Amino acid sequence: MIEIESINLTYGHGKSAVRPLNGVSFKIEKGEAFGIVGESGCGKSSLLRCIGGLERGWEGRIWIGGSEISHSRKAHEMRVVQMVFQDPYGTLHPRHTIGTALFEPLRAQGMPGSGEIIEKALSDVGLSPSFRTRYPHQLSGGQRQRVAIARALIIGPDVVLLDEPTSALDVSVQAEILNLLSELRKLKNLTYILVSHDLAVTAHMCDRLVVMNSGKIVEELTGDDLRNNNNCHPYTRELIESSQRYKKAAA
Amino acid sequence: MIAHQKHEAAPLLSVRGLCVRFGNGSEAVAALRNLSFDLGKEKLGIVGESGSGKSTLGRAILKLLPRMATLSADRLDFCGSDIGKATERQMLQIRGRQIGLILQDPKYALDPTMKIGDQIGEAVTLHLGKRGKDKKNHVLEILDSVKIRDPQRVYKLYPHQISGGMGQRIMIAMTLVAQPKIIIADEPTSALDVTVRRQLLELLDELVTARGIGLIFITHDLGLAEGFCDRLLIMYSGQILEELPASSLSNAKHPYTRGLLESMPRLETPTERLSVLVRDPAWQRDVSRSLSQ
Repeated sequence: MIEIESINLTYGHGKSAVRPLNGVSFKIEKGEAFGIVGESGCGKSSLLRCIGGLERGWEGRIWIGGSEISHSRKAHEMRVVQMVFQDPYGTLHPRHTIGTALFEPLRAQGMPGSGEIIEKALSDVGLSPSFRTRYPHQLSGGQRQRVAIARALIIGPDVVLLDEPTSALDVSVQAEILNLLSELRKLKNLTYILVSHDLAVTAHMCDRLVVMNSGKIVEELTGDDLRNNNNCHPYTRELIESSQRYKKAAA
Repeated sequence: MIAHQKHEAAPLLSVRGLCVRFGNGSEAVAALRNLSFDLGKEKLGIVGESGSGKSTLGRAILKLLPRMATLSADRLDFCGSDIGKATERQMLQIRGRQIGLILQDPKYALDPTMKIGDQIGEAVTLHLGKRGKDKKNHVLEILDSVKIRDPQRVYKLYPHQISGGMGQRIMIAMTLVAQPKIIIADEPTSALDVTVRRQLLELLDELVTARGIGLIFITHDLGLAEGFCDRLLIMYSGQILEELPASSLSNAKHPYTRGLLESMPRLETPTERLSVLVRDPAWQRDVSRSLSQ
């Protein structure tokens, strides 16, 4: 479904240039959930933005659904890949109703939009049709994230890019959203790329994951490798250790 | 390891029947309802979801609530004096000097226009009356005590030039200047990466234990609180639903605590579906019972 070959990304020129991505390559099959873990600044979000078409300065090659993607995307290429962002508070326009927010991607894609389509999209993510006329400030964080997911799915993408979709949510709400995402993936045969700093969340959602550090892939693992501490790179080990419970004996 | 003394003869802080309401009349919202607990020289975790009132509790102890809030308590005893009745002038002597506060994000808590050294120096002058060279040496010592590698260099930096982890170390350093008896840490590591978080917790643990400070550790992260704290208070809609030693969190009795624990994905035990918390309206009802005694 997605193939990425030696992606480089550089910001700035000459001496002050920074390289958030340094030759990243991987391949994802259709229907797979693929995880990217790493600390802040490791380039995981930049990578997602390159795949999502939000960055233009990258070098390398990206194939999505068998066809190679250029730097400037056509509308039909945009439809295939949709993104869900971290902050459910920043992601919705405060003065647009939920109905307007959901209609926007349909309008941008020149697809027909009707009340039924929007209500269907809402019920797919477990919200009642009455949410159409509400404003974002009337919704809780979990409900907003559901709207963000509905907005990503309304134009029927094949790939959904999830950038820390639950890190702003409480654990009880996180469980609901993760369950919803898993159900939708099965139902609609979606391909996910999940970026997260939380190893437990990533291992729960993804069959396969990569660990990134300073713009490079350190290691590729399966969820089971992670659980059983198999073939781990020292950096991965450090990450696992740190995310396990804090033990007083270590202090 | 230093053996921990849990309940000492005289607790540092003793709270009975603490209530905080926002607004007045019929529109008032009860943010805290009849809270009672004691704090000794220990690490007390306040755990709850957003909106449970955990941050309001931290601010209520310092009386740092907005004007629309009304605070009432049967007792709000801090080392023998009643904070509940303290005037604003008296609170100025307590805030920072006796009860310190560490906030979540150092980016917002530090003054962006002041050098790190000058910011800590301000606290040194205010609390210890040191000036000039004395002040500078003291600041460098403090930076060293929170394990900042090159204090001379960091002294001259501005907040935007340092990392989040270093910023949080500096916040801890500033809090420790006045040698407070209690530190309230409100989500001190939530903005940090996991590897940095661990180092910071180790540091906080070390400093708090060595100085015999009572720490109130406010967090939404059950796993973190379980490992780091000695005792936990589980909060829900402004009340304490359960109090328990951190080491027995996995044997928690209250269905809310159990529900939260079960909804967390775990590395060790993969599941197809995460269990979802079903909220029981009964949890909202008043639980008036005395804790800690």
